[in-house]
Amino acid sequence: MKNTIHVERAIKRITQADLAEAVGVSRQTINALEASKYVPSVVLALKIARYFDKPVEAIFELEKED
Amino acid sequence: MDTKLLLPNRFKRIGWLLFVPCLILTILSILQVSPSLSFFDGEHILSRWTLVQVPEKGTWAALFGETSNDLAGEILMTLTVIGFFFLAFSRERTDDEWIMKVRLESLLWAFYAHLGGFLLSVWFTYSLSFYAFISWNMLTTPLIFLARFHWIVYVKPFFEERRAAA
Repeated sequence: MKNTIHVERAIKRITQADLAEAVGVSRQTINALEASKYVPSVVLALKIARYFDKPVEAIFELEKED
Repeated sequence: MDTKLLLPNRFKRIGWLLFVPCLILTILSILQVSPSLSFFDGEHILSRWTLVQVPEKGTWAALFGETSNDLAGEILMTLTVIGFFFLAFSRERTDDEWIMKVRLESLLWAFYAHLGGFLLSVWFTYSLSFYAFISWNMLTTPLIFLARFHWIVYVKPFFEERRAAA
């Protein structure tokens, strides 16, 4: 699964640490998400989407192998 | 995220303070580096405090007096295990689902390494060296777990960020 967290973060001009604090996870978790090393739980995906004020599908997208 | 079955974060610091020195002392006394530090056998620097008088069942010594038993080894091993427990199973400052995933993965790794070590000991050692190998193998689970967990959660991201910044 790929995501556009990095882009959304750049638009909002916030750091990984800011986003991590806003959604209540560690900074390393945001790092792992942006590097596509980790697929978040539905709860975390919804929280991130809500933070950026967008639907989940606008940020997270399935890939062929998923 | 609510991570159950874990100790509060403050136990982690106690864990470091207990586990590291106790582990070093355990290794030093197993390797018999110095008689004053051999806590499992004979006289050592703490003998005065750890020697207790226990009547031993079924021996003549119990009838005619008391035998002594040195508890230093037991105490040291207990502190090492408790230290590992505190260190490995307390929450991180911000514990979340990814950290829990890394924690469980690291446990799996540690268990595989332990099984591998056991198979090696079965095939390549026998008698006393078999028991020696098995006792050393007790350390693979805690050490591989701690090394892998801290590598993925703290060390690797640190190096990656430094490379990205450069």
